[in-house]
Amino acid sequence: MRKPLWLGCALALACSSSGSLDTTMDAGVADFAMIDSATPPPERDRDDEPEPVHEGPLGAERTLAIGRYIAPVLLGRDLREDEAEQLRSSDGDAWPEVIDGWTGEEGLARGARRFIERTVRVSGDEARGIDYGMPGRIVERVARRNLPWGEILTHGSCVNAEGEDTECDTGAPYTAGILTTRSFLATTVSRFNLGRASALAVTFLCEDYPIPSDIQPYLNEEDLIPLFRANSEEDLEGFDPESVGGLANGAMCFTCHGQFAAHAQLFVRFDQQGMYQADATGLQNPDGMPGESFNGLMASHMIDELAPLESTQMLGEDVANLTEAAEVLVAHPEFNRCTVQRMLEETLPLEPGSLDRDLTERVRDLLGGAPTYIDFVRETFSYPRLVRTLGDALIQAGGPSDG
Amino acid sequence: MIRARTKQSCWLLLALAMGCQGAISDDEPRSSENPEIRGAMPEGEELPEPTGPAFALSTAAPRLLPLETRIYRMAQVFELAPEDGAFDSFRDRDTALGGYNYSQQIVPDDRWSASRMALWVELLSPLCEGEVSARRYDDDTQTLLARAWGREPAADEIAEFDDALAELQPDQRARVRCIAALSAAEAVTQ
Repeated sequence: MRKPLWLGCALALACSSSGSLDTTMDAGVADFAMIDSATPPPERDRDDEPEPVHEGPLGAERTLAIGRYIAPVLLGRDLREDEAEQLRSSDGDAWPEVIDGWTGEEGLARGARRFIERTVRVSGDEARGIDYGMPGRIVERVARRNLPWGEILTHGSCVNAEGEDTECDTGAPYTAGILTTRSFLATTVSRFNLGRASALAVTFLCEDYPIPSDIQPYLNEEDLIPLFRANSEEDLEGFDPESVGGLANGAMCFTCHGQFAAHAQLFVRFDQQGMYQADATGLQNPDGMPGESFNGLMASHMIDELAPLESTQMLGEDVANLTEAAEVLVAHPEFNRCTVQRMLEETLPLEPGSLDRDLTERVRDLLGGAPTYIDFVRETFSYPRLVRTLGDALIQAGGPSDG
Repeated sequence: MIRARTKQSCWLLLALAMGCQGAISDDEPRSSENPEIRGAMPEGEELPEPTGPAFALSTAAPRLLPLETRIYRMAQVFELAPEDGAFDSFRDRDTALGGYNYSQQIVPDDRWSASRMALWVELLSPLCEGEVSARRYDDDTQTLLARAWGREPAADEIAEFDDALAELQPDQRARVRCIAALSAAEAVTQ
């Protein structure tokens, strides 16, 4: 997109930083100010009106505009001239092929890492004894090796700073990609493990609680501690008002916690620092805050006999632990749909609430089983309706799509 | 006196530059659900694909590109590898230039803010002061802008750029051209 005002800004900065400005600058700066603040942008001398766009599904002009817009974000570089030529000579039909050509690029892997680090909100170096770069390195590995994208949550090993396989750092007897890294667990910890459960649902399913029950069925009410079974004011009678007031969002506890419980239970053995404690009880510490258990662990939603168990239900399927839960999660259609949505949100400056869910569903339906990162990029950004929407928006905004 | 007034003008313009950004919110779209559309989809029935736009792009403010991309464009201009040590000063200031480090509670900030512009120019200046790099594009604005912006500039953009710098003295011109090209929004924002 053209940004005529901003060029003036840069010129202003360039002159303000010169340190030894001479008198000839004055007139020039005044000119910039006039251009920037008082006059509309000069008419373009190439094409005053956007050219009619290609009526076919893709088109050279649209795909060039899109390639030039997204490559700097996804790849850390600009669209190369040979790629641009492919698009011109094929009238855009080579766009999926151009995207496939990005497979294996280091920049693509680093872009995938940025995507997930910004979405999950975990990154950094070692701090307070925790390696905050671990999740990002797992993602980079998955993208670089063109592994199924779901392996970000199921990869069987962690990756050290040298890029080599290493055991994950939680001490758990199983792995689940970035979910079994201390940095993810320590960053998302909260009482009753609600933060960790939400991180799963919001980040990877694009759903907040209550989740539609056809996606996440409710647990049996009787399996939850009495507080979370409540569905009315009457149900809450007899509870300590302070505890209820501090925890409950109204009286409809079960509406959300009937699903929270299923996901939070997966984390009952991971303490605040993300370390696995096999002897966790999941029981409420009577001297702690509501939702806190013992030894830095968080309390379970479940009744006493179920509280220490990692086995639970994920998206309607019984699972033994986080590994199995992650496998169910990445196999669910909503994981792929949500990945498409998150990719669009990270790559494009979308108006909040403007993304049509229909688009993400139709792209998801093209992906097939075990899609890789490049599969998501290709199917998303070459989907005809997206190409029309994004390509036309960029062309209408005046960005030179072909120079 | 004139120098002081000039500098004042520049900073006034910088203030305008800040104004260019309008009211920028840190809020990023976290959910793109469209309940109306979603609710209108009957279960189990295949609806024809909507024909309208699938989303709207925000025009509130351009977003900063990843530092990796900004360094790539500088590397193109200076004909160096992006990994070259010449760009270490930028990498060292990654978070000050909009990058993130969640372990230090530094979240991404994609705004091209005034302080970030000033730091960018401060770091860029030494690179643009070299005689060779500064003079490389003396007579070739098109190549300079193409490399700095990642696309061929339009004729009016080249003319605007050259006109704006025409009155600079020769000993300043090359350096300011270099800084201006690589600090423009076209170079650093999406």
